[in-house]
Amino acid sequence: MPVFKAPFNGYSVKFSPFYESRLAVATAQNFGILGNGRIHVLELSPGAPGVTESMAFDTADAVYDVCWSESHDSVLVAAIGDGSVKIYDTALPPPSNPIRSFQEHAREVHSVDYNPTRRDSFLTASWDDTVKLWAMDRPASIRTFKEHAYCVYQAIWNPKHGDVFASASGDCTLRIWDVREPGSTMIIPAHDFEILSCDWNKYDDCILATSSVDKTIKVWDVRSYRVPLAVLNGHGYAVRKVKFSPHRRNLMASCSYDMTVCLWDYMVEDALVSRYDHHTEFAVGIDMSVLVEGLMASTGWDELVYIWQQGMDPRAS
Amino acid sequence: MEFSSPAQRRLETVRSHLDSSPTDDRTSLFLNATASPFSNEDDSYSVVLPEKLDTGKWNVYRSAKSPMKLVSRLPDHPEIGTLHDNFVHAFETYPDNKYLGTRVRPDGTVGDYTWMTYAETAIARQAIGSGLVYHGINQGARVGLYFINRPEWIVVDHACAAYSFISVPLYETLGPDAVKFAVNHATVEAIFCVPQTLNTLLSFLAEIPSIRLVVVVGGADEHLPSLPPRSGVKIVSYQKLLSQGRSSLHPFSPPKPEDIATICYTSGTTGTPKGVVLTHGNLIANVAGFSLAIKYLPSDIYISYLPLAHIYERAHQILVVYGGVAVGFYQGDNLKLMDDLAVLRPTLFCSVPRLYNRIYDGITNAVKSSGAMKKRLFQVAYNSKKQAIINGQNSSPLWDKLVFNKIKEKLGGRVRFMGSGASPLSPDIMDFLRVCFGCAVREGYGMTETSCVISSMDEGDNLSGHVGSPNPACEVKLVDVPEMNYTSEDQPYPRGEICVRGPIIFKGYYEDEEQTREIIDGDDWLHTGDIGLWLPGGRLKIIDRKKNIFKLAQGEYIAPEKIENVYAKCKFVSQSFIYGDSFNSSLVAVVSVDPDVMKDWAASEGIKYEHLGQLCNDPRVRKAVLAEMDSVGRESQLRGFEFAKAVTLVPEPFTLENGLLTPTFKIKRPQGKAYFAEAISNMYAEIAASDPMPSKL
Repeated sequence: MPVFKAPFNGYSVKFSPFYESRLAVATAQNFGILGNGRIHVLELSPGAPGVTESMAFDTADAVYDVCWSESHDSVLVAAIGDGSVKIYDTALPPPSNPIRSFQEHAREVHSVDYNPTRRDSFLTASWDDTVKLWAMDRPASIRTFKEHAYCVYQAIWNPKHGDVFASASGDCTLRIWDVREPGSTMIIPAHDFEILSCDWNKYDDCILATSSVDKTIKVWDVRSYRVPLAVLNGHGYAVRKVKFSPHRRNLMASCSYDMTVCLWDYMVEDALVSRYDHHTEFAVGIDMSVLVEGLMASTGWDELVYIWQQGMDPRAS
Repeated sequence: MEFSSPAQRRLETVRSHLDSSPTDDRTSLFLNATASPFSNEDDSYSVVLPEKLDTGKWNVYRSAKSPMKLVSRLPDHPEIGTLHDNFVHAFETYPDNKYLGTRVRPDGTVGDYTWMTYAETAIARQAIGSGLVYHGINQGARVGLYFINRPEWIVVDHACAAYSFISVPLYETLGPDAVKFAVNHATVEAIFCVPQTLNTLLSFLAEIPSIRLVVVVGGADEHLPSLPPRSGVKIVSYQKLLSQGRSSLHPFSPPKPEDIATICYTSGTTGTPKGVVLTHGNLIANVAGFSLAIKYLPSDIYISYLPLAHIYERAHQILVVYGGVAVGFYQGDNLKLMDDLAVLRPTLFCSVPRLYNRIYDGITNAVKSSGAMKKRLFQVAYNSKKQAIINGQNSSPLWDKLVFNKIKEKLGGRVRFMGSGASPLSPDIMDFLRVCFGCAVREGYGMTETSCVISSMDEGDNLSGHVGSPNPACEVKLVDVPEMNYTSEDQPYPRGEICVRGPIIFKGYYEDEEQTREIIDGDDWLHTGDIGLWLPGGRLKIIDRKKNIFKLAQGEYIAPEKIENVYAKCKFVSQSFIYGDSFNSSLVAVVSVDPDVMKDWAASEGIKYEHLGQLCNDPRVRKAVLAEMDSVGRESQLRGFEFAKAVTLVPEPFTLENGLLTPTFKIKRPQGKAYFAEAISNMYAEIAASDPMPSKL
């Protein structure tokens, strides 16, 4: 399966929602602590080497996350360490990019998510404790959601309701928001340690998962959030990201500081489906293709991006 | 939380992700304090006892590990009384373990390590011992070892132990005069050498009449010179001796614990060499005491490159055998040591401050030239990990991943224990090693006359800048030195000359009653000549040397070695010699420069480089080096009169060959004074010229 070696440390990888062979990768120099960042656009191809870089954009600070526009097949949004949010058009040459840059967050922007239902707006989560709502044609953010007491690591849209999103924070809470409401609509103290990531189930708009420094993943039903539906143990260190499968109701993927990527079925007792140990440093980015069932991608501090089919060995070429 | 920079914030954020242990859980478990008379919180590493019941003065320190009785035998194996017993125990317990490894092939090329097992070594040492008997060398005869570390050295040493020969190790770097003196003084009958040292021996063979057999290690018989038959000296190769011994095996003649095991010639910083007589019992006692402080395991790998003729390496070899450890030898070239480390990947690494200082310089220079970002990253990581170590916490694995693992790889990546001895290690450098290599770093203190270790740092002691608690095999007291103002009443800590007593004390200097009486007093205390103080916790700190101290004109005492250690941290300085006397009010320095740093610096300053000597004589260069030394001195908080006021740069290093160093790399001060007499007087003239009105206050 294809492997791409980046010059910097990997932070995030995302499949294009328009082209099954296209991915974007966010990377940062010196483990994202100090230095530049780069966004790679990768193209999968049938023969060897299997993956090639079609374009790259350099940034002055680390790139922590990237997402594809749901409305324009060539447009990318990037979350940058210096607090900026930048928009790139891969149809234009690098010198004409970025096409927009928004400097509003006071600290590192850690995640970005494009609205999949309304397709006109996106969310950014930042270490300045806020989440911001943006639209491509507006000169500034539409709204700032400021309730969390510590870094917000991820904000993610509900797959059905175009006005609802969830945010995961280092203040140990998960919050649910409706952009039409003045404040958050629900606060779930989901873990006793920092929550690093969250995601909605693509088949049940009331179910979501959180991952935490406490090494667990918890699955929640917002209709009865007193106790989690499931607690998934198995990672040896903080779980950096969790992601529901776009194809299978019960399946989810996670990656962790323990350097592994895991697949889980949260409905069965023996939840761990498989564990991949192909990364040799912290695994921090994971995605599952919407267009090809079972196609997965991961990246980590070992500067490698792996793309593989579920059930196969990511290292087998 | 507020951070001074985004980088610090990011590092702290990632670090916090890796720390999922509930805070303050360490308080949930604690030791139950018991009412032992020997342990209290103030003196946790040592216990204090009265020297004599009638005087009532409590000034004798023993290790808290064995306060009632000084250790003289290995606690788990008290039946081991001699080096021979120790080796028999090892090869019976670990016959098939790797023991001696070398990467030098018989044809002289270098490859991967090949190993002899403990059982193979046992067979070889019986053959070598039998070979010596075959040549008429009898029990009690002195056998010289005059070559660099390699497996044969150890085999011969074990042969000596098994057949009751007395080994006389000689530094391979010793010059003809010193070798001649030691061989004659100890009436050595057989001597092992290599082709290089054979030539030295042959040049004065007629003047060492006691020699009857010369064994050449690593030489082929057909290349050996033939001697006139009348000379009475036979030359054989090691291989031939081995086969001669094999075809006429003799039974062992095991020594008794009180028999002499070895005579070690220490050059000392002045005068003629002295032969330190150590018995089997001395060496076993020392190692037994030290074995309570650190356990070596059969899975360990030790690299042998410090001279085997030095007691520090010799004692380690005994401990290593007891543990069933594998010993890999370096190629014989210090410049290729890093390469050997990368191939061997040892778990135990013992060294001397000189080498640790070089490692420190190498890493800090690499960090400085790696760009502002990497430098900052290193600083943040270093400070954070150091803080964690001081607080006794586990440092985040993040720092190791980001920064330190790459550094650790330089020593092969597996080192779990680092030892330092032979001279004082600066506390900064000890902290630096602990942080960068993430392993136990412990400093010890000892001397040949005490069979090696007098004191060593205890496990879990994170304070640097001291040499730990007494070896359980000896007791230590401090004796007042009124002429230097060191007394047991000193505040905040008692100070004085370090005196040692116990089963590790040597039997005396070989055939030198007078010098023996000078160092061992009527109550069997050995006076080391080192000045120490007791830190809280019963930990010894070496602060001075009784001999190496002089007064400046204004009456300030100067301990030059301390100042030299400070200047060793300066990037230009490879070695330094600090001089002062009571006729002058300031110090001057002779510095042997680091050629690479000099060259790079000259290039960066646009100073033309012809040869090193020309740079050394350039006043601009001298000024720059002195400025750098001043800043290092300020950083280390030297007192004003401890700064060198003028410097002379010399291109050539201080070495054994030019007579400026002892084999343990200590500077010979009287020789240095004579050697640099002209430079010293020029420097004082220069100081006088620049300061025409000396303060008359």
